[in-house]
Amino acid sequence: MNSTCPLLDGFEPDSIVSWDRGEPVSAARFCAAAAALAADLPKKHYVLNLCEDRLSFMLSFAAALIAGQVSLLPPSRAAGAVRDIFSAYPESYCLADHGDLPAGLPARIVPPWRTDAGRFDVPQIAAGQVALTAFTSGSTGKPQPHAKTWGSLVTEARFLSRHLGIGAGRNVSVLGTVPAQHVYGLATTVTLPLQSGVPVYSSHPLLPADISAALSALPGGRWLATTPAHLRACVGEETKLPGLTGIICATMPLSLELVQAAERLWSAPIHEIYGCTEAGVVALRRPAHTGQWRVCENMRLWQKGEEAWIEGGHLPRALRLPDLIELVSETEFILLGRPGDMAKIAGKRASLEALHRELLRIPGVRDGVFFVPEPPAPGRQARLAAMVVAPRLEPEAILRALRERIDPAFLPRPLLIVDALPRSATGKLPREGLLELAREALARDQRSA
Amino acid sequence: MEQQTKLEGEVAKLIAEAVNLETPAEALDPDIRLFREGLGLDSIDLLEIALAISRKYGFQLRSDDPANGTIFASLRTLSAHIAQHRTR
Repeated sequence: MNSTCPLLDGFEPDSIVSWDRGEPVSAARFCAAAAALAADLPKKHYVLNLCEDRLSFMLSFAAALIAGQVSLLPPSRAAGAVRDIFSAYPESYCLADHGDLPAGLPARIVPPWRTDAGRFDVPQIAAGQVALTAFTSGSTGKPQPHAKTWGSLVTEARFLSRHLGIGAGRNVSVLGTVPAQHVYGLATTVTLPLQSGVPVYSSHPLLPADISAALSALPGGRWLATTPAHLRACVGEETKLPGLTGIICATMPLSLELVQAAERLWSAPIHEIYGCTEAGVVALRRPAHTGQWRVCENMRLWQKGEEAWIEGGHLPRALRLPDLIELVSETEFILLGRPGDMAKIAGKRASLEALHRELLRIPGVRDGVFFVPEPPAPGRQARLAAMVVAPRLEPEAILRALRERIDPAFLPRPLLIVDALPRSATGKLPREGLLELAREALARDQRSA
Repeated sequence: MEQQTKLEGEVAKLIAEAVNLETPAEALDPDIRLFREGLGLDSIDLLEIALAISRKYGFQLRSDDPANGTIFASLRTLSAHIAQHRTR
């Protein structure tokens, strides 16, 4: 790795970096805007990038890199999550493209686009510079920081570019349905296009009809970076997704049935990514062809008891994977699942124990538990559920309190009020007893309403 | 709470089934906010609801519709939008 890496690579001055609602933004204009914004940023070490629009996010991220500031990527835009990060990084401010921000935090709104481009200067960023810090919930419930250097992000992006064959000259663009603040969204829709000389669509469409309309507006071949939830909705509606060259999917396991239906419907290959906030992209596979995962170039796996470790590639040091795996070789593995305490919802991991502690901090809650209920339907993701002993509280009051403290993805549904939890003599909560009590409580609530 | 109309009752049932609500469909206030405060639904729930609506009423919802703030505001506004656009 050189001691510096360019902000973007593979672009001519007038190549398109992003399609902004039908309007092209050239590489020269992007670099000029990023340099101008960088010169105008508050002189602080950290910046909370809260931009919703992908192009605004990219511009803010690029400006922070140029100014030598670390972008903090909050796990959600919920006011509580943003405040938690701000209190851990008092030397920070918010950079956003919308006014819907938690009150009382120093904030800057991204300025409107400049029309002039000027000379095409691609900023060079030190490879060792910390580019961003992403967060996992951690075992204490407090967000745990994971810093990544610019060199590591560039190595990861260039690997993806080679592996997927996404590059300048291929006449392709990328469209993502995932937020740029999620490390998977960042790798596939920010650093991958910036380092491969291909344009990215500026917003992140959500519903099948939105995705279809957004894809139709792009020229050339289109790569869709998405999640199983979006794919499932698009397959269910038999949405027309025109001009797809390939689909990248991550955040939770894909069923083979969904993969086959999607590849049949749109005649495009699905590439599935396995990764985590700590390591970024770890492995890929074509789920239509194989159940085995192959790690990124130059990465190596090993096991220590039940723990799986990985090193090499874009990783500066060895890391422990948050999942249980079966090693097939030094570079291939089968994913077995998560350790018992961890739940993963909408691409975010949380420790049930940490959620449990947040529940017990609410005044009036005597006992309570978060659990993973039986899946609602095949291929659909269950949300977490909770049972709470709180004789004087309404479920709505408990939810309001939780919404302040935890990521919305983990808000329990249903939240059932019960008289007591089925604890065993040792205080443990056997899963069978929990599920049975949940079924009874649900039936009771529906009768009484 | 105000009475649900026939269509609102139908849409309430569809939402409750699509996102696994513990509140029974009949008990949903037509004016309660569906997202954030209110029922607290999120974007993954919106995907499930859109899929169920497309299957039952034969048209696809858009979330980037400029009118989207009003369409998804409540059971009442969503039902009114369905009444206008349904093909079955």
